Amino acid sequence: MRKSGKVKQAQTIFIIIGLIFLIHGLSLILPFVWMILTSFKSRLDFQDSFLGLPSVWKWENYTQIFSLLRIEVIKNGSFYTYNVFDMMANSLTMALTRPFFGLLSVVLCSYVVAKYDFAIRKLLFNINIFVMVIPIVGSLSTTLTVYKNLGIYNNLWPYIIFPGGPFGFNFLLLYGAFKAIPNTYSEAIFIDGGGHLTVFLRIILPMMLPTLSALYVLSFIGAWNDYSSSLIYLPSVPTLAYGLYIFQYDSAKYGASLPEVLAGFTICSIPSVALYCGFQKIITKSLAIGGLKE
Amino acid sequence: MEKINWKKKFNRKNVFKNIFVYCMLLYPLAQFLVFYVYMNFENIMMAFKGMMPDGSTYWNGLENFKIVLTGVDSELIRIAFANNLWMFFLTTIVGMPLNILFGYYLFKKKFGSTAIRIVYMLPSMVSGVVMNLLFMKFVELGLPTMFKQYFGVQLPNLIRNNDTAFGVQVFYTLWLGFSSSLIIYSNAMFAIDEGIIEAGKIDGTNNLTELIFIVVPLIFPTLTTYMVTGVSSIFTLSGSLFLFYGLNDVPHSTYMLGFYLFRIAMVGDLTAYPQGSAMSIIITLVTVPITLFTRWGLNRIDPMRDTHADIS
Repeated sequence: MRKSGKVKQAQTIFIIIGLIFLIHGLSLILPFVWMILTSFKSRLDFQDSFLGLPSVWKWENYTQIFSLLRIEVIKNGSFYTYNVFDMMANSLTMALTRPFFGLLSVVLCSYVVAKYDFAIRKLLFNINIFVMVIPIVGSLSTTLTVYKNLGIYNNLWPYIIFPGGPFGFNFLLLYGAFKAIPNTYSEAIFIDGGGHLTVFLRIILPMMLPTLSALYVLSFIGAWNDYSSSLIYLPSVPTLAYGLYIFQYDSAKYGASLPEVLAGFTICSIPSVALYCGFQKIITKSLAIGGLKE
Repeated sequence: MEKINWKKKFNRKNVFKNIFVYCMLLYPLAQFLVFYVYMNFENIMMAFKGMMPDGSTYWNGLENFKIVLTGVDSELIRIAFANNLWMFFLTTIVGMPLNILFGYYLFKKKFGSTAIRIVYMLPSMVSGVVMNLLFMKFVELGLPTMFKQYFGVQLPNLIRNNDTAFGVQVFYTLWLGFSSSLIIYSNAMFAIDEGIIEAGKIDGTNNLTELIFIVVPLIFPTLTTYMVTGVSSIFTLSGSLFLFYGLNDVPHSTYMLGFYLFRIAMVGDLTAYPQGSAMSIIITLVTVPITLFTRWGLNRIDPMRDTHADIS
């Protein structure tokens, strides 16, 4: 009797949690539904009804955004206008390459720390913990000064190739994943006369492919949606997210209304949402972080 | 004294291994040295310097620290300091138990958990600019329309109102931040060996005892990592102030330290840069003992600390 009471209590708690999930989940989805519906409204339609369905579906908003959205930046001392396609190209370049170099740095470091015994192995692991735990706060103003001194500021390729150090959450995540791979595979390659590089390229990387692709896709999405890089470090290289950020403030200047701005946001969101849908299973399963102990 | 076997130490196999290892480390470590070691060294040096509008520097002693602590912005910094503490308390300390409880719901694969996992990742998949605009439009246009229509009440602009603006920030952070940590916690739970859960069931555990005595102790390393890194960034939190208000229209009551530092860099007044560095050093000095104490405390209360310590 007492036990069934406890079971009922647990079921009630689960029902309450389920209801909260439902409300919160809806609050996350409805803004997107509203964005898509509003992006099909005319200016007058939007003024008449903020929340309702469009009275006439105005598909032209999606074509107009391509001609309306233009960003003017100063490049090499003169004004330069970027259209949607230029900004998309910048976003794509950043999203494809910067996550690659970021991940490369972490993979190289975490692999050797996880799998090899060498003089500074322990030191490197401890540095990772130190970096994560001890918050040495280099201020943004110093970062900007150093970037300017090193020629990285407003320079796309150096910014892409040097995404920062290897340490942080991803190091911990990959360290755990590399450590979990049994050494028997690499020993078999060594017996067959293979070297360390062969083991890394032909055994370890293929085995790590699901985790690495999940991290790459996540970083790709992060980079595609990133507006702050252009804002802070690359003012002459506007990405689509940055363009839309500027555009939403100055939409009146460009003769655009909110439905057209939202059409732009919908276009910008399509690649990342599509990628997420494609890789959803791998992404949600790969996100697991262990402790701060070796 | 034990003799070192140099022949063994420098055999062919070892040399190749070491060459491979250090070649692999070249690119990541070069970046670490430049973007962490050099950057922080420069930051420390900058805190003791003054900067001219043309970028040239001079020795300024402790003047920057004095300006940060007693200058015109000191009142604003005090507000920001308190806001950072509140934000951390409400989003991490209050949010964590809720995240564990809700993560457990997903772990038990209750009704709709697959759909929840998909929907909850959605905000992380679109640009912060998009989420922010949607939220702002809802609060500034949608909410007042609904209140007027259904309750006949005229709602003030909650985002611009000094009394409600910080509450909106906290709500926004909780609303969006809840999703990603939930996925991480539930994934940590899914990594628990099913045999342990089964053994618990044989011993008569119910959902509550399973959560408290099996699940939480086993995911404790993940909780520790989250809490320690959360504590280490208490005073660099910036909320979404820039997206909400831009650089210049932020209500004073919502100021946060991370935004204060961001603003110094973005306004572009080079003479204020050293004060940003001084402030970041003060933040570091305050945060380090708190972080170390938190880590020490969490390691002490780790219910399975012997098992977890054995790993090392």
